[in-house]
Amino acid sequence: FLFPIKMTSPRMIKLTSNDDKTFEVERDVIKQSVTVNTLITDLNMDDEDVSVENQMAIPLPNVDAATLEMVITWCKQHREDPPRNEEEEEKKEKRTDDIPEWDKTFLDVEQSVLFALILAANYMDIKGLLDNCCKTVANMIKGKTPDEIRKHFNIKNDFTPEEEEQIRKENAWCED
Amino acid sequence: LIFMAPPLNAAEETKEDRARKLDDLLEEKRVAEENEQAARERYFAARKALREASDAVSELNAKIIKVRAARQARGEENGLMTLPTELLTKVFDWFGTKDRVEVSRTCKRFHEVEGSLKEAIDELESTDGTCGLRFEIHLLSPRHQKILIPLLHQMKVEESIQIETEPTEPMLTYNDVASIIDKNEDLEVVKIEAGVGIDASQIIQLHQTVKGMADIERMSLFIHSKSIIDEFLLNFYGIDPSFLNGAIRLHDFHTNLTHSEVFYEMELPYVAFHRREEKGESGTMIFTLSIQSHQRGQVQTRDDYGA
Repeated sequence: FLFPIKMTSPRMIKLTSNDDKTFEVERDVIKQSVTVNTLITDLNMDDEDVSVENQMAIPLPNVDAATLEMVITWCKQHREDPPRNEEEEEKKEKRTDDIPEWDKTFLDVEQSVLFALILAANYMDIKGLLDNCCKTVANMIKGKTPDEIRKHFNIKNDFTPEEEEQIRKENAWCED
Repeated sequence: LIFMAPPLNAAEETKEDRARKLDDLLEEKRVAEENEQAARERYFAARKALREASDAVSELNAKIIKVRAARQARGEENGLMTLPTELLTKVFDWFGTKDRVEVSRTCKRFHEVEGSLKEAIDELESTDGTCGLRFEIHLLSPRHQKILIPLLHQMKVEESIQIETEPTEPMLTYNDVASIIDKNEDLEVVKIEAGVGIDASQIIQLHQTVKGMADIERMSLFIHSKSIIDEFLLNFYGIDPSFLNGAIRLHDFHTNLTHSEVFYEMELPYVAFHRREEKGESGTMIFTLSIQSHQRGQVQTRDDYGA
């Protein structure tokens, strides 16, 4: 009654961060990154005969290890997400209050971490992560006055009083 | 007596039944306990996994913060200002008009990113009395295309027009479109889109022509100039723009702001135009603009504008 059962382990891909840390991640998980996906296809890395030990690691020179780890965590969480239809996304109403709960918690991080994630998501071309990060930053800005924005993001006001007045006049047409 | 006594095997069966029932109950209890234990284990495993995930994220954040702190100590910036313009635009894309204005007043860089907004309007307003205009006409009848295309051709066309059939045609000139229509009597044009610079009187002329065509499904004008919109509201519909307190302009501006283009949208109803006023729940005035389309016998509600 003993039949040999072929255990197929998930295909793994190696990624190296800019601080030389290598991560092994399931092919199915990292497919959300268009950049990595394109590299895998272009380099014929989907060849099943190559074991993960002999596989070339994909270098990600613009992403550090800590950020890459976060990106992988996000991709794992969203591996089951249906593929994005960009046309449909374009048509959708632009709103920032639809960030999923898990993402809200995940992105509730220090500002610099969030900006690093935005840069990484943009470089790795992960639209879902980029959108949710940008929405999170947009939510931090929304409803704030210029002074409050400056305070929140530690931005210096480099306008002269004359320039400020000029800008105020420029925008008068759309003020109530 | 023999007949009255209960049969011996019946008594034995009851005993067996009881024993079996007891066994069944014990088995059920054991299974229930096992299930409960398994559920408890699953619950604790899930809690552990969640805690581990949360710890991992915290650990990651701590690591990242450490890296950033080290960078900051070395004088490397890591704030919002370090994002390239392309990504700042992606963040600002999620704003409405008011937030765009506020953010543009924060610092010079943000003003530059958002600056295109005012510049675009200035540029359009300053083009010798004409307004920037993009229009879409959905045509169903080749006969009317023949009337309309030459009319469009007579206008001061600054850009080419796009005629959208199936599959989408590339950008064409008016002459190209006229030639296509001449060669294909049965061609059904779904959409004509054009970027042109024409003045308000020409728009009115176009509008009047379109109004007389029963089988034109829809005509939209995307007007780049608020003064032309005001002129339209006042002269064409008899609405004092100040009466709407800028609601149309702000609303349309907000909903149609795209990455690089700023325009005001106003759909020109070609049959009838109704205005209804009512008090909203919060005491605000709501204007409902409705467009009646005779040939289709339907009322399309344009939108509600709170003012």
